[in-house]
Amino acid sequence: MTTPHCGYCRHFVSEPLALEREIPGLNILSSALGSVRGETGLCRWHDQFYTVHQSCPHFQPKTPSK
Amino acid sequence: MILGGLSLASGLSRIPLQGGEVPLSLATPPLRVSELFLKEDWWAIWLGLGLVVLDLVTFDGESSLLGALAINPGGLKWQTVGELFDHFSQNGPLYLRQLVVWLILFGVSCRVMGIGFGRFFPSFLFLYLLSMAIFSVSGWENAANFNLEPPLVALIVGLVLANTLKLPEWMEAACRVEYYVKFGIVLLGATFPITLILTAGPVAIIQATFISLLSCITIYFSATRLFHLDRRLAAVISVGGSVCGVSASMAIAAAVGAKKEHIYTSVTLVVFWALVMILVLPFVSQSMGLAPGVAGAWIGTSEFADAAGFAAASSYGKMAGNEEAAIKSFTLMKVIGRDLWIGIWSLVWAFIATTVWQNPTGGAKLDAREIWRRFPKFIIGFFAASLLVTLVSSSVSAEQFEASIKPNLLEPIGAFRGWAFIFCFLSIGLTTRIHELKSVNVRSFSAFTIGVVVNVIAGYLLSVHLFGDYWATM
Repeated sequence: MTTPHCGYCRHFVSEPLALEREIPGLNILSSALGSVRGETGLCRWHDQFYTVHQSCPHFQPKTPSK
Repeated sequence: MILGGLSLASGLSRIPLQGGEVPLSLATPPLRVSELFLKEDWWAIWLGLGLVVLDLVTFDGESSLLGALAINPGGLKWQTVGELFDHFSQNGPLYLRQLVVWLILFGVSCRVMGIGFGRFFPSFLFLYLLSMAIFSVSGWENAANFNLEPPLVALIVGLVLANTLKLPEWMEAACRVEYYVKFGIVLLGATFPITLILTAGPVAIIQATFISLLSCITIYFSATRLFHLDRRLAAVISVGGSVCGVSASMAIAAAVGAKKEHIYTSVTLVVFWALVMILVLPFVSQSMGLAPGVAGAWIGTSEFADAAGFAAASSYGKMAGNEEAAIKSFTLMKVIGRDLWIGIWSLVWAFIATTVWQNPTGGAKLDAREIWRRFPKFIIGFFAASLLVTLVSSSVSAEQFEASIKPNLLEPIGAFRGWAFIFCFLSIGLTTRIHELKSVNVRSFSAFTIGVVVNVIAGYLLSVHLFGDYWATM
C-alpha cells in the first residue's frame, strides 16, 4: 500500500530536474540539486511548496513507472 | 539574536493571506543516506576532496599528478596570435587529458544525479572550449588594460550568446552553476589556512549576521507594510536578498508555504540584482581604490549568491592585482558568515509560520533536524580541505612552503579551481535567458530594491570604515 505522503503523490514535483523545468531560471544562481532545498517540492494541486513528508486529502498515488 | 530579530519582523499577522490553503498533516521524516549521491553538495565534497588528497599523496616535493594536468592559457601573456597557437600545438595532448578528466569527474557525477551523459558530453565540450577561449583572451599581454578579466568576459559572453542566439536545449545540460561553484569552494579550502578561518571567521560572522538581519527585516517590512505584499512572498524575497539568494528562498519555501510564483519572483529579483552587482561593484571598488580584502568583504555582504559574488570578487581581485585577498575575504563573509547558517534561517521561519502565523498556509512544522538537512554540506569539504593542507603545511618551514609546497602542491589546486569558476561564470551567462524570467510587479521590485540599497550601504560602512583595517590586512 502506498504511503499517502506528498513524496508518493502524483501532484508533487520533487525530482530535481523536473523542478528546475517548473521554475525557469531556478538553475541560474541556484539549483534543485543542492542540499539547502532539503526535501522540498512543488505541489501542482496547491501550486505551493511542501516537504515530501506532508500529506493532504487530495493525495493521489503516482503511476508506477514502466 | 536572529530569532529575536525575525520574531520582531514577523509581528505582522494581521497582513491577510491571499488564497485559501488546505492545512496539511505531517509525518515524521527520516534522514536519508541516498543524499550522499544525489545532491551536488556531496559530490562537490567527494570530487574536490578527492583531488586534494590525490594531490597530497602523489606529491614528491617537486610535482604531483594534479600538477601534470594543471594547465590553462590564462597566464601566457602572449603578444601575437602565433604564440597562442604555438602554446596549443605544444600542449594539445595535455589539454585533451585534462578534458577527459573533467568529463569523467563531472560526467559521471551528473549522470548519477540524473543528467544523461549523452546530453552532458556535447554541452560540456562546448563549455570547455569556450572557457579555453576566455582564458586565452585573458592571457593576452594587454588584457588587463581593457578590463578583460576572465569572470566578466565569461559572464558577458554567456549572456550575449544566450540572449541573441537560439541555443539548443542540450547545450544547457552541463551548465551547472551551483555545482561548479561548490566544487571550486572545496578546492579553495585547500589554499585557505584553517587558522585564518578560526581567527577571521568570528568577525565575518558578526558583520554578516548584522547585515543579513538588517536586510531581511528591511525587505520584509517594506514588502508587507509599505507595499502590502503577501507575507509568504515577503519572507522568501527577504531571505533571498539577505542570506543566499534563491537557494535561501527555496530553503524556507516549505516552511512558510510559499507559492510557485513567490519563488519565481525571487528568481527574477535575485538574478537581476546579482548581475547588476557583478558588473558594478568591481568598478565602484576600483574607482574608490579599495584594498582587495576590503572590496571582497563588501562584495561578500552585498552579493546574494555565491557564484555571482565569486565573479565580482575574483574580477576585482584581478583588477587590483591580488585575487587571493579578495576571494578570501569574500569567502569568509559569504560562505562562513552567511551560507553556514541557512538551516537556522529555515528553522526561524518555520517557527514564525507555526507560532506567529499559526501555520494557516500549510507550511511545514518546526523540526530542528532541518538545520542539518538544509545545511550546505559542501562547506564541510571546504573545512576538511583547509584542515588537511594546513596540517601538511605546518610540518615544513616557511622557506620550504614558499619554494615547494606553494608552487608545486597548491598552485595546481588553484589552477583546477580557476577552471571550475570559469565553467561557473560562463554557465551563469548561458543559463540567463532574460525572456524566460517572470515579470515582477513594481511593489515586489521596490521592496527588494530598498533592501539591496540598505544592504550595499551598510556593507560598505562596515567593510570599509568599521572593519576596513582588518579586511585590508587579508
